[in-house]
Amino acid sequence: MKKRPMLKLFFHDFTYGFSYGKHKYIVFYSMIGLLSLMISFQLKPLGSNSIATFFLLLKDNGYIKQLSDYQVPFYWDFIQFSVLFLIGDFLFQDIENKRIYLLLRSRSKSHYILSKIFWVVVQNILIYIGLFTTIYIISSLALGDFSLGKSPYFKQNIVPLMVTKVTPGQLLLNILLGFIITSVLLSSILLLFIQFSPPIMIFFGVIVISSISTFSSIKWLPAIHSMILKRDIFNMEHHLTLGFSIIYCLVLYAFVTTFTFFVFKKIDTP
Amino acid sequence: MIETAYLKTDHLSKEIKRQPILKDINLTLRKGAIYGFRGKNGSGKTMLFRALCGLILPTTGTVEVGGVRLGKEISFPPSVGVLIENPGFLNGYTGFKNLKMLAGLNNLINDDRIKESIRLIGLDPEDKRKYRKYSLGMKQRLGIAQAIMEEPDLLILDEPTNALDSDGVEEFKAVLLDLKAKDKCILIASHDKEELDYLSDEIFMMENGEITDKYHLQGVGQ
Repeated sequence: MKKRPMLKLFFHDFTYGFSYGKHKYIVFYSMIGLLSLMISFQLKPLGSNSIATFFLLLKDNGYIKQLSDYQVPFYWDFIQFSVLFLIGDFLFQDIENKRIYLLLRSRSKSHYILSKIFWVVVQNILIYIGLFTTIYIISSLALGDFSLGKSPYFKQNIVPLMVTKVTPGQLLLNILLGFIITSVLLSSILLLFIQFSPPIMIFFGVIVISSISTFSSIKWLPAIHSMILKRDIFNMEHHLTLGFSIIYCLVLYAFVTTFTFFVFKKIDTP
Repeated sequence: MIETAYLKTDHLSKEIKRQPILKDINLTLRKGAIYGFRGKNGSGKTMLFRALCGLILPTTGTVEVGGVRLGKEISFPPSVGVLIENPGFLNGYTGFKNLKMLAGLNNLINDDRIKESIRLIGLDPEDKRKYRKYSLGMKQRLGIAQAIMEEPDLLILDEPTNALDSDGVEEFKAVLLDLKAKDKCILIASHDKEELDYLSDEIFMMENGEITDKYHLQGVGQ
């Protein structure tokens, strides 16, 4: 491998990732489209645009004062787990069937694992861009409104929930960035532990870590950073700002990926 | 005749979770020869092949390929083709497109060479059928084509004739003997005694991670 070996491995992952998982992606985006459509039809008589659909589909269950108040955030869980499944499925397939062929052709463990680390980040970003685009298009079509400004529904139903008033654009950015940084971090944890243990066990382990945030207020948990109702926009109690979430997730991500890099170089490829 | 070792292991042993998987393996293999490895399931053939590829690191002992020590000076052999397990081809791609995707990783060969490898092993490179439509035997043939397409100096094949019909086995034998004539070092693991005896210059018997016996056949298939 003479020229830009890491880039070639990355493009191999890109092509392979989407070709291998295309049917699963179609199912996932169809489900998202269907959910967007259902929510949009409920919102139509209330004078809304797609911002409300984003909010209702991607919001969590907020802080729980008592466990008896707990409600399962089904949509949040579905999206979080589905994205992790899509990424975990690719990593599992790669380890099971492709790894030795890629390693022996690239002849470099460093290039192989760096390309995987890079691909996981890009895959997350692309999945969420696809998800947001799907919600925007389906919802806007259903509501007959392609604007992203303040709709009557936003002013009457979302603004009163806020303790820090933000524009619809800022709200959307908070949600999108929150989901991406959380998912990148959880995927990197998946990539690290999948090197040592059965993938199915690791996948469920990460799902459990992710689920704890739905009833716990500890802001050091990774998945809490994708929960918009726990952000300082809606709840000042825990000072969970977007800045804190980004820095915390980046630091943890850097630690996990550095560890993955060095561990992978030392371990066998059974 | 002075024989130069291309692949050499020196007291190679491997333990996984304190269980000995390979025990004190000493091999001296040259180019231009075919080596057969025979043994029951779990005898350590596949693990040995993985160690020779640099995929698992020895607990003690060394592996040298082309005079260079694996895991020390280089991670993997400089020129190696393997068929150890299903290469994870994409169901939605044709055989040619699957091989092209892998060959693109090191750009050593062009499309014509990929097509020639497919043809050599008895498949049609222009076949428009997707991989999912291939029979088991065709899938195995494509796996072999993947291993030989870059004409590597070291070729390691684990149960390569699984699922091949008699024509497929004959084509496979012809390809291997041709590669042997081109001075390649070839290692095959197989349950099939007859096939190994026909192809191999030397046979190694394995049991419980050890080489228990070896015998020369002086290249019967030539």
